[in-house]
Amino acid sequence: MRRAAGIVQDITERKAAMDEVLAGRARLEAALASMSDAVFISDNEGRFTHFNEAFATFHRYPDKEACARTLAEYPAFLDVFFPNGELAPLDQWAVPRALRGEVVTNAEYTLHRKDTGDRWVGSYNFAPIRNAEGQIMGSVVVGRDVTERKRLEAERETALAKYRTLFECFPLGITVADREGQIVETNRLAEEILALPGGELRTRKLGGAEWQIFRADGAPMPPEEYPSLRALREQALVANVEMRVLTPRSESKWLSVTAAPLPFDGYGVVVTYADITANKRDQQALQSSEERRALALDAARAGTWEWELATGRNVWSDELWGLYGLPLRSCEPSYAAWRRTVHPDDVNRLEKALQEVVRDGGELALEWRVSEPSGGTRWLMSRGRPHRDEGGQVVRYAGVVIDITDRKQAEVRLRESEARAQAMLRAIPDMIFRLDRKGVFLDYKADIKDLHEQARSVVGRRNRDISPPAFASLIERKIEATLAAGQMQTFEYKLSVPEAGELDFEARMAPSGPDEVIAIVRNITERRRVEAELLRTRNTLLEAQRIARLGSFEYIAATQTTVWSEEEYRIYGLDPAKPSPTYEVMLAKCIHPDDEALLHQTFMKAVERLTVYELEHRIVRPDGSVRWVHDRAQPYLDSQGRLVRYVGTTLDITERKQAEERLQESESRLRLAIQAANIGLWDWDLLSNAVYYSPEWKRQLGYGEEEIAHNFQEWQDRVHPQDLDTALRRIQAFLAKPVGRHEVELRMRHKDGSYRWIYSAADVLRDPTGRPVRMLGCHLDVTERKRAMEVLRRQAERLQWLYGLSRAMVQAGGTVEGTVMVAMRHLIAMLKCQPAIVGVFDREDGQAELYVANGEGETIIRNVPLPPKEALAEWEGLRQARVEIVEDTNSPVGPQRLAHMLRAQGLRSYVGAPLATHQRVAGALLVGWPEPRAIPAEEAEIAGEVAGQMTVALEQIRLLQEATQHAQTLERRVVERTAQLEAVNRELEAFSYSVSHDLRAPLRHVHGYVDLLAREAGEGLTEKARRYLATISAASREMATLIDDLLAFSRLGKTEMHEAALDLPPLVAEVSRSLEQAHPGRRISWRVSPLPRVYGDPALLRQVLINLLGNAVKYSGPRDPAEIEVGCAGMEAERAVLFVRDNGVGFDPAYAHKLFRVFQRLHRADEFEGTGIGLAIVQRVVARHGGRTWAEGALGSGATFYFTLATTPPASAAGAVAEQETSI
Amino acid sequence: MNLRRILLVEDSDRDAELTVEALAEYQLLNRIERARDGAEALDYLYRQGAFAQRPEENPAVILLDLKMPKVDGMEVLRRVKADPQLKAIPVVMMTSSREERDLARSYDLGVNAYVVKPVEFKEFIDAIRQVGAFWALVNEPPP
Repeated sequence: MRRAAGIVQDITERKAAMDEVLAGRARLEAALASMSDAVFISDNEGRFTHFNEAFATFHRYPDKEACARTLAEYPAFLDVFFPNGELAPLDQWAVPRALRGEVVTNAEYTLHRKDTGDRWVGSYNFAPIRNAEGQIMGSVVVGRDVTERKRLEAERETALAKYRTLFECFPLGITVADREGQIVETNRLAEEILALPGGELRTRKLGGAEWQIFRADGAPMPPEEYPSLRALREQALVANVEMRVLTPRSESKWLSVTAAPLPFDGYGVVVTYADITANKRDQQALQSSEERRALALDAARAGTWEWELATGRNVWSDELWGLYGLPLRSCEPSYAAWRRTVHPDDVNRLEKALQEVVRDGGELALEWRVSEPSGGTRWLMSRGRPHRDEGGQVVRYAGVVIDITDRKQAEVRLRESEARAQAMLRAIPDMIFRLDRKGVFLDYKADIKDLHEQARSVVGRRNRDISPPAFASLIERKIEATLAAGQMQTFEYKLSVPEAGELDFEARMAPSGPDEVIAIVRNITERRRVEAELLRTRNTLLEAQRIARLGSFEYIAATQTTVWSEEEYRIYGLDPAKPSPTYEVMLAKCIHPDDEALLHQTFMKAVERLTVYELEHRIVRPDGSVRWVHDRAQPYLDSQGRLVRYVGTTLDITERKQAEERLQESESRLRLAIQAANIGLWDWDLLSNAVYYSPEWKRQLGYGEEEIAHNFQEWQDRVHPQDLDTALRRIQAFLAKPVGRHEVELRMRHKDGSYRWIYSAADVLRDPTGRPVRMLGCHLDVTERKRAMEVLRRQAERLQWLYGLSRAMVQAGGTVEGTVMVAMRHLIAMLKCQPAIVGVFDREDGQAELYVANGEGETIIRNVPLPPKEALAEWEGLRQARVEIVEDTNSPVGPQRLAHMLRAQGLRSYVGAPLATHQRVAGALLVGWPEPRAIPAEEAEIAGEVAGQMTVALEQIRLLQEATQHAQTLERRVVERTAQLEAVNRELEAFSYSVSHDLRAPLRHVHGYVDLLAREAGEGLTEKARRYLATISAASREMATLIDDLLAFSRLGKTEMHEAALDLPPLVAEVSRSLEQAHPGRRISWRVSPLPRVYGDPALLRQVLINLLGNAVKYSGPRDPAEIEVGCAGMEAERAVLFVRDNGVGFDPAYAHKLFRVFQRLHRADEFEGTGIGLAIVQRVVARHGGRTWAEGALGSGATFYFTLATTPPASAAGAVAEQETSI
Repeated sequence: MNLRRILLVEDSDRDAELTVEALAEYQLLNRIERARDGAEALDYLYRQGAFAQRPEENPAVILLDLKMPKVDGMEVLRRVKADPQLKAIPVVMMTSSREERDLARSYDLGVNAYVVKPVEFKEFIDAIRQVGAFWALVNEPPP
């Protein structure tokens, strides 16, 4: 069908072809055979001389030969009708008409086979065949079967009419707008709602300024929020936006607006409006205090009833009357009374339901309408329960009636909106499928140009069973995704369709229920192909542009809109998928604010003069970044010379611009730097000898711009005479051989007459032959730097000098005299003063020493009375420890008495500096001159510094003397004390020596003679006498022991200690063994736990053990066996705590503090022998070792004696001990 | 039997008596010559003064008290041991107190025995006995 179209169009060509056909039969036969349209040629009699294969098909003939008839035979089996349905007489058929000379294209006839009943429509082109003379020789007719096309067209007509009707019947206002928002379609309701009659609406634009739109919260709604514009922009459904619209007729409407982008080419958006003004009003009313009242009424809208089945008696609660629309108790409650209130349409249904309930004895649940007196209806609902007697028979129903009008209305509204949605769906002229989660087709609506013919039979079948598996999987995945997301999904797919090949489809799938989706499917094959082609050609161009970073644009004068190339979008940082901005929008949004006016002016000027528009300007991308672009566009005019469009290019020149800016920046930076650095510039033209001096150059020398002429002489005149030669020589040398750069420091005369130090540096410029033509240089005023350096140099010198002086003073031998003289000699040499005087005060005796030095010699005057107090008081500098400068002793400056005294000595100026420590003024230094003079601060400083150093030196000397004296005194005292101590010691020794001899001798005599007496008297002695003698003996023996112990004790303090490492266990064993031997017959249980190695004098510690263990043995005498333990109880301050424990008689802890005192005993001598010295010895020995002793015990339960001993060698003896240990 | 003499140098009569008793107790029948102090002892040894007429023979042993008026025991010992004629005579130093430095000095000077006189008479007897027995009886006097 489609292929035939090209042939039909040009009949003259055909005629020429026919001539050829007539000329060559074979060629004609072949040509005819290949044609898909029916072609038949007749002679002038109407006999068919030629016809092709398609002819037979066209006429529904099984064989070709059967067609070979004359025209006249046809009416027998064929009816031919005009398009209007009238039967066409034979002479109106195509062949006769052609033979009559008619040349016709697209004549339509409906054909009807009488024998088979087949009916079809043909479209005919026909023309006569003439010979050279112009006589009609025959006809050629080409027929095409257009039955199917006609059918489809008819169907489309019907559908369009149907949709138009639907469109008009929708309970919603609908407008359809194109991509630009221009309204192209609207239904009556939309006109009504928007209060614009007829065609007026269609001239307007969506979101135009005529409408004032407010949000639900009352604020004006900005255009970007309009549902229509949002749907266009976002290509997504924007549903149920509530808004208030002030129409162009100033009517206020509340609307619920839904907008959806249209999946049509060339169409933009469909917008539906529901007028919710009334709802809103109600809603607002409800929101006021009405709300509570309505709720209260609602609550009251329920009543109760009872119904005795046997008697038919009814009992109604008061509310029921109201609910049934009856005056309260206006009649006897009864079934009949109730039945009368029921809406007539519901009576039959209710009665039937009621009968069934009563028959079955089941629960009662009814809903029905009640007519209101006002004409409205209300819905009521009743629920009731059966009550039974003992036999199980239902005797009574009791229940409740509730007004459910509101709920019912909601249901109705819901159903209506569903129906509306259905209608909407049907109205969308694409394929629509409804599928469940498993991909089963629930419903469909095919496309008008549907190629899915088989779709008609798919309902109830699963997609997987009728589609290729890959496609079925895709759809199932998409269904899942759509249901999961709860949102519309858009996707494209390819599908092979029988007879059409592989086609492209676009599907939009949206959830339509918990387990089903609706898919709207469009055939986009053609669009894809065109797009692809377009893309290909465009891509080539784009690529070129992208490479060049060249965007292109068109400005369409009529609409003031722009069309941008993709690269243009890229330059502007915008999304190429969005429409190009209008000129105004572009100006406002994309152009840098500073360049907006410039661009507009430039462009408008170009438009006005129809000239080329060209501009470099800045743009602002959506991300805020700024780019530089170069626009260039040419005007295109129509034949009348009016502007149609500008076409131009945009080049991104940001990098170039930035480079330029950087260059400018660096230039200005340099300029600023030169200014900031106070650099003066000069530029000397060597040929003309003219010199340019910059303002700063002049300023450095104190001149204004006009005060120095631009010639070489001005410079030369101001250079210091001493520096000029050097400077000129250097310049000549540099010009002769310019290597590196010219640098010189020279003095130049300032306007005020002083000289400034100038640093000058320069370089030369040459002509092409290399000859220097200009010298460019700069000046920097370095006077301050020079001065600072000079000061630094002088300070360094001074420090060096002071250091030398300091060393000299130290080397002066540590005497006051030497120190002072050295300092004064240095001062005289340095300051050229005459003389220098130093006074050293000694406050104690009120005398001073004066040292006077001049260039020739020094004088010392001792024992000078201190200056009178008043004179000192007057010298404030001295008191306040600061340097006093008097430049003329005749002036009233400075202390006057001193001035007077110095004048008398011939001094006219001086510097006075105190020799002051922070505690006292020890003297004063004075350097003087015979003439009045200006004394530089530096000289005063030197005098002050020397005074300071002298003070320190003198103070050191004084301290050294004091220290020496002190040391001597100490030494003498030590000698004296030592001698005294030695004497005492000697006496003590002599004492104890004589004690040891002379006290013992009498005892020995007493004892000896008692013994002799006893022997002499022999048996003659009475018992009593013998006892007396024994007592005398015992007493003398005790006395001897006492003396021995005392001597041992006294010797303890004197003997030298020899500390060494000592293992206690062997010592304990030795002592305990000897104690056992001394006490035969005693049973003693010894327990010695591990003991640490200790450090001490072995002999003394042995004595300690003897005493402690001896005590333990002694006081455990009453025990059998005695238990004695020696052990270590831990550490205390790096000393081992050792103990000796016994199970003896113990002691009263109240007297524990007396234990270690000499002669203190806690037991009587007749209980335990003893002198009371043993523990005192223990304590003294332990104390000498740096340890301590203590005891614990109780009467009758033993005693423990503790003592501590070092476990590390004593610090002083550590080395010795270590040596000892290694030598063992 | 011609027993050689024992020279007892002792200023205390009591000690002297007790010493003699003790020696007698031990049956030492040597004749005991007594000097009351160091000076007398030296006179005796050098046969001068009151002892100019004494027999030539030197004593078998000298029992020498340390602490005496005039010339003390230490001096006597020094003189005896320094004299080639006398130094062969055994000297027993007897003292009331065991002073270390006395002991050390005595041995330095060449004492033959050093005895601390015990207070107990019995012990004293024992000490004398031992000393006397050793030197007066057992040892042959030097030629």
